[in-house]
Amino acid sequence: MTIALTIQDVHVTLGQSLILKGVSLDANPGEFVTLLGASGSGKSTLLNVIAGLQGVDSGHVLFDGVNVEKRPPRKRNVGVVFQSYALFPHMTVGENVAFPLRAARRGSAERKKVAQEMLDLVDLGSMFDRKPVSLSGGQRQRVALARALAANPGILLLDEPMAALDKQLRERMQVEIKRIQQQVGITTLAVTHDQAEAMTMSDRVAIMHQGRFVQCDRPENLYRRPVDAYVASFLGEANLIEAHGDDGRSPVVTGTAVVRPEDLSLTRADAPAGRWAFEGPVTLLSFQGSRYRLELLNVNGERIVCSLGPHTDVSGIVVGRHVRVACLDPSLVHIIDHRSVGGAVEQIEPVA
Amino acid sequence: MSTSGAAVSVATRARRRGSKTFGTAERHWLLWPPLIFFALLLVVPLVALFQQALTGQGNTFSEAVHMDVFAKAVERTLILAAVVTVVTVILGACYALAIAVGPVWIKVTLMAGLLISLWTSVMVRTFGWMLMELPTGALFWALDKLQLRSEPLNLYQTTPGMYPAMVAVMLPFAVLPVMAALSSLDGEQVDAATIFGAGPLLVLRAVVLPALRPALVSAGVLVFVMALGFYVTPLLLGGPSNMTLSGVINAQLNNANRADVGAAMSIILIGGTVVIYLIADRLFKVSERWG
Repeated sequence: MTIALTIQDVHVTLGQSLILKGVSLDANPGEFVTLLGASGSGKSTLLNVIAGLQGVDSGHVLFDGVNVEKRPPRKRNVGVVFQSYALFPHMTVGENVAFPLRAARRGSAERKKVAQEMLDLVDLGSMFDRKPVSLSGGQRQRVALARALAANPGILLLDEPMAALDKQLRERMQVEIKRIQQQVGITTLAVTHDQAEAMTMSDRVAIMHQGRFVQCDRPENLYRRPVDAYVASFLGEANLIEAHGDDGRSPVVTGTAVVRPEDLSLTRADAPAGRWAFEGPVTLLSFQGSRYRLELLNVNGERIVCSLGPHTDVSGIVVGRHVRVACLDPSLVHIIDHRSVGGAVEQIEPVA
Repeated sequence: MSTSGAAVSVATRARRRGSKTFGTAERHWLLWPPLIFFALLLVVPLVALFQQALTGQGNTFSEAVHMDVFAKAVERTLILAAVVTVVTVILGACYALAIAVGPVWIKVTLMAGLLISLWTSVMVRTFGWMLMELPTGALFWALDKLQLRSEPLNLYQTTPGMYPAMVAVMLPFAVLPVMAALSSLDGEQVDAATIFGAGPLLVLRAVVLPALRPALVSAGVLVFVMALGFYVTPLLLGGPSNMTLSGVINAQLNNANRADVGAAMSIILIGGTVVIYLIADRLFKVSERWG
């Protein structure tokens, strides 16, 4: 039953403001796509458009190639996990999960059977007769997921599914949701502002900014080859360095170099200066468990952040002392060519 | 030694906690004004009422219970209150739902109607209904214009004549709690039900009504208790031969000159109301919702 989702040039206005400014997306059957963006980027609105809770000004939404913009929410056969879970408090867990079947007027034996199967799927088989109030946050979320999948929907929508969970549970549930999604094989669209969550769960991540997709790609590609400074700094931490001229070997490039903190390492002061070496006084050194974080002020006044392995010898490094760090493998440095930037994002925030 | 140490530490803790806002003594002082108010305005009259009832010749309570007028009035009052409660709560829920989901002009009109009827004295509204129900009043005029009826109405000062006016007077008290419950209804739950395929009826039955149940019950209890003791509207529209309890009590006090029997009847009415409230509380946990 899982479907291919196509979104073509969707525009949405809410009140006076343009929320979605021409968004297009193709999701294959069974694919997990996450919309990642800051609040106000339009990602939740896009989810509502797919669910049918929000109409479009122009553009198309297609399920398996069929236009559905005119179809009311109840006829779209989508499963949604809401941010607050929206479980019905006066119904038992089993009745909650069976609700989509009740709405479809299925017999009570079938309802019960499917609800039990779904609860077994999310590992809550023994909670059938409990009320949602008596469940923990993580259990409620799994009930919401079971209910979303009960009527065998064509597409699953997750609206900030982890927002109400604490950090440890969140990491467990990310893996759990991914497992269930793969087991069911359903096309899934999630919305989040948490980049780690997006990368953990998704086959592809679409980065949204001011009502547009800035970049949509596999997590590795987004991280390694961001199209602009916004993506580079939104997804993980990045040193953005203005690059001019050439280093004698590669052709002339003018653009912004993206140097990831973990690609930098300490080098001896008398080592030959490569193209991606930075030198200056240390402004911060802190141990963070699995990494050391080192910050220094480059000669050009740029703040350079390095993430060093936990076994790095940091003896003798104190704030104020000059050190040199370098990226020893130049292929790890991605350069955003200024000529290719500007179409997608109206304005690139300066990154410190 | 150890006990006194524990006592000291408890005392310090209490002082520390108390010093955040008010000390224990100050907190008690805050309680006094409402308590005095309560005693003066409720307990004292009740005691006086009891005294009044006991000063009469013989057992006034048994005399009251055995009066034919009283028994008839109790029956009439209970039926009136019950029917008015059911009708008012149903209408009130529809009214509140219409305000919640209707187009703007309906919202504005209904809210204005609600506020105006709340701000207008019960007396004035009852007079309005009188003018409508009179044999050749406004209602007759309208029916006559529509050529539905040519002979005068026989509605004024009858038992059925009380019902519509009572419902109209009580309606705001049913609408307000339901409106409050509707405004705190979780919109995501309605969205969820819709997305999972529920039509409007199922959404109403499975999501909205269960969420409104507590408000409907408290509205019902409020209207029922108020209707039991209502005076002006039943008296003016029901007339002297269809008196409700408060009318009968008034007749005992002012016409029959039997203040002792009137007092006994009042106590029976108050006691009955309290018992009904307690039963409702037991069944529906009303007081938990009112805090």
